[in-house]
Amino acid sequence: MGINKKQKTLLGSFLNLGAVVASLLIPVAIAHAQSNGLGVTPKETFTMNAGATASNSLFLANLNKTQPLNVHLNVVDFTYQDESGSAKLLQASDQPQTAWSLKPYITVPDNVTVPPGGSKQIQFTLKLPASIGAGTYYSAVEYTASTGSGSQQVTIAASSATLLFINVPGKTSELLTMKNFGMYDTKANKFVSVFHSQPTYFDYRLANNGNLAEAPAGSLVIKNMFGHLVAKVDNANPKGQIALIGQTRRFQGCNPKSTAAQDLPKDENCIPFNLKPGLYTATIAIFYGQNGQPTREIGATSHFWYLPWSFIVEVLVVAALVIYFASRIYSGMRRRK
Amino acid sequence: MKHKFNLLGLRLLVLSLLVAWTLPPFIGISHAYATLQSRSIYILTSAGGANTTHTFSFTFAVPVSVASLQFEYCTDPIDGVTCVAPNGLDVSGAILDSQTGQTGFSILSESSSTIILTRPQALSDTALNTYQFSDATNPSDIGPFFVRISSYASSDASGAYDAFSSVAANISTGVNINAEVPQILYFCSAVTIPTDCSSANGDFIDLSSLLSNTTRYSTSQFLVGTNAPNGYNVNVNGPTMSSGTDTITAQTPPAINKVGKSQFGINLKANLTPLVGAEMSGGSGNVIATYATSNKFAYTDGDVVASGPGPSDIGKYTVSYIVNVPSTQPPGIYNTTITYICTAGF
Repeated sequence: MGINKKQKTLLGSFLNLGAVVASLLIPVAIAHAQSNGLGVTPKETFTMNAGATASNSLFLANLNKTQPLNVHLNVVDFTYQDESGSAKLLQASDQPQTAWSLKPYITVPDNVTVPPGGSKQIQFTLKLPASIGAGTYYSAVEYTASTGSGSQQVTIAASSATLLFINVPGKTSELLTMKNFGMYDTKANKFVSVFHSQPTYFDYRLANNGNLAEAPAGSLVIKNMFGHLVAKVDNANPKGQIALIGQTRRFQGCNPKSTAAQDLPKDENCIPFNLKPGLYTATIAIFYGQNGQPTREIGATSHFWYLPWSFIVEVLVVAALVIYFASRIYSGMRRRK
Repeated sequence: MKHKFNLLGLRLLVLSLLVAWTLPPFIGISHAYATLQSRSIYILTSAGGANTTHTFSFTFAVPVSVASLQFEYCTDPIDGVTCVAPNGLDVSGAILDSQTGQTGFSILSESSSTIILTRPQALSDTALNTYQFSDATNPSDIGPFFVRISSYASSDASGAYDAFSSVAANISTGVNINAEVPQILYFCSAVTIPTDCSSANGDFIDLSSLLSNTTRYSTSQFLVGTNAPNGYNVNVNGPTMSSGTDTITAQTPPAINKVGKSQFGINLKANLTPLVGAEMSGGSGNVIATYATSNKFAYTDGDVVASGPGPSDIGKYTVSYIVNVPSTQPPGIYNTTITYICTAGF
């Protein structure tokens, strides 16, 4: 009952025709009638006591000056993608609620319309039960710009979100563990112990096994092989990066050009350290703990070499000269004996 | 034999010098001291520049003689490193409101960044101690600051300390909230965005008829920028193209365009095969590796496709789509909705 080659070709042509016919049924370009441009508050952090109720607002702007922005609002749980600060929105319809979800406690409007070029403050309410445990609760408020019909071949939709963190004070379980620390080569994307050009960045990986999203603070000092302090970075978490609950997070700091608060998060503010060739010891002290809760401290030490190629060549030339003259002297001494 | 001995001696000398040079000097000059346990700082109002109350709590790990305590506010917590006071901080007029545990202290001296308490010398215990100061002015800069706490047997915090530890605190809002530039995340997505988000046009891509002997391809664009310190991430969300239960296979891992194969993929590069797409322009973000190879396409629902590690000017990304079908692809109207979700980094 198999089909022959001719039948296959005919069938293929028929199917292609079917696809062609089907595609002809697809509506041709419809006029774009709604904005797909959003400006939102990226992240908000609040501290609220158990049992408290609070109202606040989220900023939403329509970046299109001629078309209205119709957005559907949805509270979505999120977690981490990897060791970076990328949020993974948990959107599956059968997604169980996370232990840190804000969903049961937050009320947002379902739909909002923002006029062309305008903005709105979207009111939301948070109502925490008295029995809620201390810790961090977080979810994202997602704004999905409505699109036209979904029957087109590939419909493009834009969505943005505000990451919402609520810290509930009280006796929390806080535990960060240092996994790695060292000077970092961002080009090679790895920890490095021998640098041929001045290092700029240091990284550390912390595992968060507590029930708080932690933004640790700390400082880095670099000492030379004689124990003298040669460099210091006051703020080892210049971007205020956060380790989510359960996440092993890679934090990055650098030698800042400016220590002004507004400059610290900028990538262009990172400049190479000014080290002389040699062996160095970098020590980091990390502190964490909620306001009023015990401050916890973890530290780590890492050794690294700064050996520019020019220095290596110089050392080799000098060593060669020393060996050459030493052997000449040694040979001379032997002859005299 | 003598020469051999001399040669060995020379080698040993060179080796010893090398070892001495390469080993770090782990032996530093320091004095022994105990650390403070269960230590914390509570700031009643954590706004920059606020006149507020700072409360310190700690225990001594072991009993020590205590006649003075020093609270030194610094930009780093590290023992032995010169203390730099945080901008705007002023505790020169702080009042010692209350004390528990080791008590009997009064203020000996205050400067803008240091408070020294004194009392007659007495041996501490290991119970919790608290010291509450009002009329303390917070640092003005958003971000962390540290307080180095040390205890001395001397009555004026002179000489070597017997116990030392630091606590960390954080200023969460600026001095003048009204003058702050709020963080904002800009994002738009459309078929074409010639200039800025106000020029975004089109929300569906017409790939025309899907044929087994031809690749269908097209593009869409998105613009993203933010002043948020941890930048942004853009995820692509949505199923592959389907018609009822019939689907076109989402390409994974990245692969070249293959005519006649069931294949739906995207990338964010300028491609030659087929001739479609454009390089990212503007801003300081980058395309994630899976979608950053010319002429290779992939699609996985939920993938991050672009990210910016920090504050970034508006950057424009062009997404190229390719669709191939085999001759056996069941006829139907194949469609999908691709949602680009932009979130801030954390």
